[in-house]
Amino acid sequence: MIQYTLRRLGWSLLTIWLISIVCFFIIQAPPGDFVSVLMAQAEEDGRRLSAAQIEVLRERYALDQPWYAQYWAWMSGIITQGDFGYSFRWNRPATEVIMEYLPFTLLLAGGSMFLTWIIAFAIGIYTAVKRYSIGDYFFTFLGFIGLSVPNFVLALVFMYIAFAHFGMTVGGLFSPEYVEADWSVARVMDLLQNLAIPALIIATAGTAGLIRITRANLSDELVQPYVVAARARGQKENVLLMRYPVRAAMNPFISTIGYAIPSVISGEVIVSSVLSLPTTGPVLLGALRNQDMYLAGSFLLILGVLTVVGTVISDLILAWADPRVRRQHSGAAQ
Amino acid sequence: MRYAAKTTPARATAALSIAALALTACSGGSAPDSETAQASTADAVDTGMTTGAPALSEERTAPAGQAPELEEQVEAGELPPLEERMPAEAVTIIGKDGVGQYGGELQLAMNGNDDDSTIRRYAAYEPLVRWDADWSDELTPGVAHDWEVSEDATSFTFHLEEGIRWSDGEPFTTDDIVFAYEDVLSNEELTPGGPTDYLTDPEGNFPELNVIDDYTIELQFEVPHGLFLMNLARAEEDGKFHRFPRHYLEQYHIDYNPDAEQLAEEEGYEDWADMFTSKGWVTLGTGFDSRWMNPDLPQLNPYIIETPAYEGNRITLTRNPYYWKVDEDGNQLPYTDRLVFDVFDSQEVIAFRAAGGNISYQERHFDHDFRPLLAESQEEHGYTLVDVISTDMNTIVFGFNHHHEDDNLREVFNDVNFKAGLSHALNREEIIELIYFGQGEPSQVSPREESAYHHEELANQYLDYDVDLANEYLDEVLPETDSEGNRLGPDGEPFTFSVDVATDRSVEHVDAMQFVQQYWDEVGITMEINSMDRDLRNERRDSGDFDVIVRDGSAGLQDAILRPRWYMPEGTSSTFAPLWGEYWEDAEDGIEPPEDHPVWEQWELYDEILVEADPERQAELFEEILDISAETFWAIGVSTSPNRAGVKAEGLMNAPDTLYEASAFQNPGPAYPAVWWWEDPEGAVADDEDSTQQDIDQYEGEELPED
Repeated sequence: MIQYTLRRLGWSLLTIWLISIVCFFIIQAPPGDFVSVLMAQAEEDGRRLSAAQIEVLRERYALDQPWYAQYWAWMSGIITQGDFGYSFRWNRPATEVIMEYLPFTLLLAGGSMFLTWIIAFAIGIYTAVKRYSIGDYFFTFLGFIGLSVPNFVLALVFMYIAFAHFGMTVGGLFSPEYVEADWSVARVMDLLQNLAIPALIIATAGTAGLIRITRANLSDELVQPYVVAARARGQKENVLLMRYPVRAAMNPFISTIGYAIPSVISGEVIVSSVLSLPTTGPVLLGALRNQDMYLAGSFLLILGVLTVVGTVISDLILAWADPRVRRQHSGAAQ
Repeated sequence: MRYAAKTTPARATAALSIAALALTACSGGSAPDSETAQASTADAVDTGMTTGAPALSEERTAPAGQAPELEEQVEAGELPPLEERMPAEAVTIIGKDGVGQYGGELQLAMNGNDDDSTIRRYAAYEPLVRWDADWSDELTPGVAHDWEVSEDATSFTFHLEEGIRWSDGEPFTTDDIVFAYEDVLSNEELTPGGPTDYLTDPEGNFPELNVIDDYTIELQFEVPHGLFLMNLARAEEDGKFHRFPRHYLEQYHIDYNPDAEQLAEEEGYEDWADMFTSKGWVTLGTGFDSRWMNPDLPQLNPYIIETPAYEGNRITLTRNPYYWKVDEDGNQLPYTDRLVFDVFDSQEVIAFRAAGGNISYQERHFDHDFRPLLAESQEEHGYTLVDVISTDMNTIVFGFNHHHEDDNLREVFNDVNFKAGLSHALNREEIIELIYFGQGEPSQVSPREESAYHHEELANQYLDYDVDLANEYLDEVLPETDSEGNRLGPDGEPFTFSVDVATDRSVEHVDAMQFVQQYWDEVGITMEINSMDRDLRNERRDSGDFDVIVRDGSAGLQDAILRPRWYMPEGTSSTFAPLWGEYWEDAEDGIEPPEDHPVWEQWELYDEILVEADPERQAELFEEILDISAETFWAIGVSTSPNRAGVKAEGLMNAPDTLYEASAFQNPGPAYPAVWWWEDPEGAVADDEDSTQQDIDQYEGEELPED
C-alpha cells in the first residue's frame, strides 16, 4: 500500500508539471496580450495610450520577453516563494484575488456536489430497483434534460422564475439588505437561500451521469447469485439492498471525486457569471478574456492540481475500499 | 456663455412659497418637508436646457442650509459652521423640480469591477470647464468660473472659484495646480510615458505656469493647443490637473519627504511612486483611481469614497461636507446622503435589477434590445424610461482597407464607384427591421443629427436601395462577369473579399452580415464572413492585413471633433486606413499615403483645428474635413444607432428624462447628480427590504418577457 501510494504521488507531480507548461503555453497562444486589451479598452472609451505609455506598460509587465522566460520566472516564484505572480487587472497578487473568492466558491461547489450525490444516489438506487417502471422512465427523462440543457439557460430560467414567482432577489449571494450587514444567523440563512438556486443548477448537470452509472452497476449486482441467496434466506429486502449490492455499486461515487472537484469549480464559471455570484468562476473568465495571464495561469494550475489531487485521493480510497484494486497493484509491484 | 433662463412668473410664486417653507425648515435645522417638495414639482422650472436637466444659475447664492447630519456635526463641534466651509457667494445649480430636500440614497449599478467610470460620472464630474447637459458647443464654468484664451491658442488663463475647499477643509488654490504639473505630471516615476496627451501641447511640451495670484493661473503652451478646453471638459480620470491636494500628497512625495521611501516600505508598498499612486494618482494602464480607494484623499467632488472600489461587490460614497455648490435657496449640495454602487457581472442582471425597480438611475449598459423588458414593468415597479441619445452614430460600418497590399483590391477599394455601388445594393430598411427591431434610420457614417457637426451629404449620399443603380456604379469598376454573373477583378480573376467581424462584442453584426452577403451577391459581388475575436481583429487591423472590417461607429456627437477617426484616418482605429492613420500620428510608423490623395488635405485641415482658438472657426474647418470625407467615401454605413433606454426611479426629482451618452460626455455628470433629490427620502434607501419585496410581489405571475 505504501509503495502504491508513493508511486501515485510521483506520477502526479510529473503530471502537475506538464499541466503547468501546457497551461502557460495555451494562455500565451492567442493573439495580443494584456496591454493590447488595455489599448482596445482605451480605444472603446475614445481615448488612446501613447506609444511611450505602451512601452512602459509592456516593460512593467515583462511582456517583452519570450514565453519560456516568463514561464521560468513564474514557476520559480511559485516554487521558491509560493508567489503565483501578479494580476495585472486587479493590481494585486494573484493568490490574494483567488483567496478572496475561494471560500464562497468552495461553499457553492461543496453544496452542489452534496446535492448531486444525494439526488443521484437516491434516484440511481430507485431506478435500478424499479427498472422499466414509470418512475424509472420519469427520472431518466428528467436526468437527461438536466444533462442536455446548458447550465446557463437553466440559470436564466431559474433566475426569472425565482424573481417573478418566489420574490427572491436576483444576482449576488446576498439580498441587498444583507450585503453590508455583519455576520448573523439571518445573514447566513440569506446566504444559504441565495446559494440554493446556483447549487441546484450546477447539480442537475452532474446527476444524470451518476444516476445512469449507479443504475447500471446496481442492476448488474442485483442479479448476482449472492443476492438471490440472501433473499432465499429471508433477508429483508431493504436491509439486503443497502448492505450488499449498493455497497458494491458505490465505486463510481468514489472515483468521481477525482473529476468532481475541478468540475464543480470550473463548471460554475458560466452559471456564476450569469447569476453574478462573487465566486472564482467569473474571475477566471475575466482573467482569460483580459489576457491577465498570471491570474489565469494560477487558476488553471490550481484546477489542474485539484484534478490530480482528487484523482489520487479517489485512487487511494478505492484501493482501501476495494481489495481487488489494491491487490492488483501490489501484485504488479512485486 | 449659456446660463439658465431667468425665473418665469409661474416659478416665482412657487419659489416664494418654497422660500417661506425653507426658511422655517432651515431654522429648525432640517430640510424642507415633503409638502414643499410637492409644491415645487407642480411648477416645473425652466433650466434653459432642452433636455430638462439641471443647469448652472446666473446668480450666486449665499450658503444658508445644510444636511441635518452635517448640522449635527457642527453642533457637536466636529465640523466648522457652514459659512466657514463654503465661499460667501456660492455657485448655484437649479433643477426643473426646484429646491429639494436632503436624504435618501442613489442606488446605482456597475458592470464589473473595472467599470469605475460609473463612479466618476456620478460623483466626480468637476472639471475646470464643463459641458452643459445639452452638450452644446459652448463650455460652462466649472472649477474655473472664467477663462481667457489668447488669439493664437497658446495661452490659457483660468480664474478659479474663490474660497472653495478640499474635502478636508484646506483651501484649493493655484498652488495645487503647480504641484500637479511640476511634481506629478512631469515626474517620470509617477507618470511614466508622460501624461494623457492633451495635458501637453500637440507637440508634447509641458506648459509654462504663470501664477498670477491664489486664484488665477496662466498656462502658456509652446505651440497652439486649440482643443485644450474641450478636452478639459472630457475630464478623464488621468486628465485632471486640479485633482492633487498638495498639502496632503507632499508627505508621500520623495521631493518633499526624504523619508518617503522608508514610509513606503513600512506601509507595504513597492516604492514611493507606488505609494503615491495608491494615495492620490491613477495606475497607468488599468486606470485604477486612488480617489475610489483612499478615503483620506481630499477632493473637490460632491461625494467622497466610503467603501473602496475594485474589491467587494458594493461601493459606497458619502457626502463631502465641504462641497462648494448650493441650490437657489443656498442649501448646500448634494441632496442625497450617499451613492451606493452594486457591482454586477453582466448587463442582463443589471437589466433585471432595473426592471425590478431596484435601481435609482441607469442610462448605460442597456443595449437597445433591452427596451421591451424595461418598458414592460415601468408602472408596477415605479420607474420611467430615460431616452438615451448615444454618441454611437452608426450600427454597422464597413471599413474597406484603403492601403491593401494587393494591388487589385486596393485599386477597387479606393474607387468611390465601387463603394457607392455596394451601398446602393444594401437593403437598409430590412436590416433595421429584422436586426434592430425597426429602430434607427438609414444613414452613412456621419456625426448625428443632434450634433453641431452633422453633415447632410455625408450622412445621406448613396443611401437608396436600388439594385439597378448599384449595378451601374459597379459596372464602372468591375464590368466583366463570369458565366454565373459574378464580377471579375481587374486581373480577370473572380473578385472576392472577406469581412472581419468581432463576434465577442457584437453578435448582431454576424446576423446582419448574412443579409449583406445576399444583397451583394445580387449585384455579383462575393464576400466571405470572417468571424473572430476582437483581439485578433485588432491585430489584423493594426498590421493592415485585412480586406474589410465591420464594427459600429462612435464619436457622433460633440466628440466628433475630438476623435475624428471615423471621418479621416486618425490612428489605427480608423478601420478604413489604419496604417495611414498611424503614419499621421508618427511618420516613422505606418504607411505614407499616395501624394495626390485627398487625405493630406484632411490632415492639414485638422492640424489647423489644433492651433485654432476660435470654436466657430474650428467647426468650419471640421466641416471642410467632412466635405472631403464625403468625397472619398471612406466607409459605408447602414443605419443610425437607435436611442437606448435608461431608467429613472419615480420620485427622483431634477434628474433628466433625456440624456446624451458618450465617454467624452461623462454622463450623467453634466446633469449635476448632486442636485437630484428624492420626493420621499425615507423610502429611497438602498437597502430597503419592504419596498423591494412589495415590487417583487407585484411582479408575481407575470409572463416571461418575449426578449
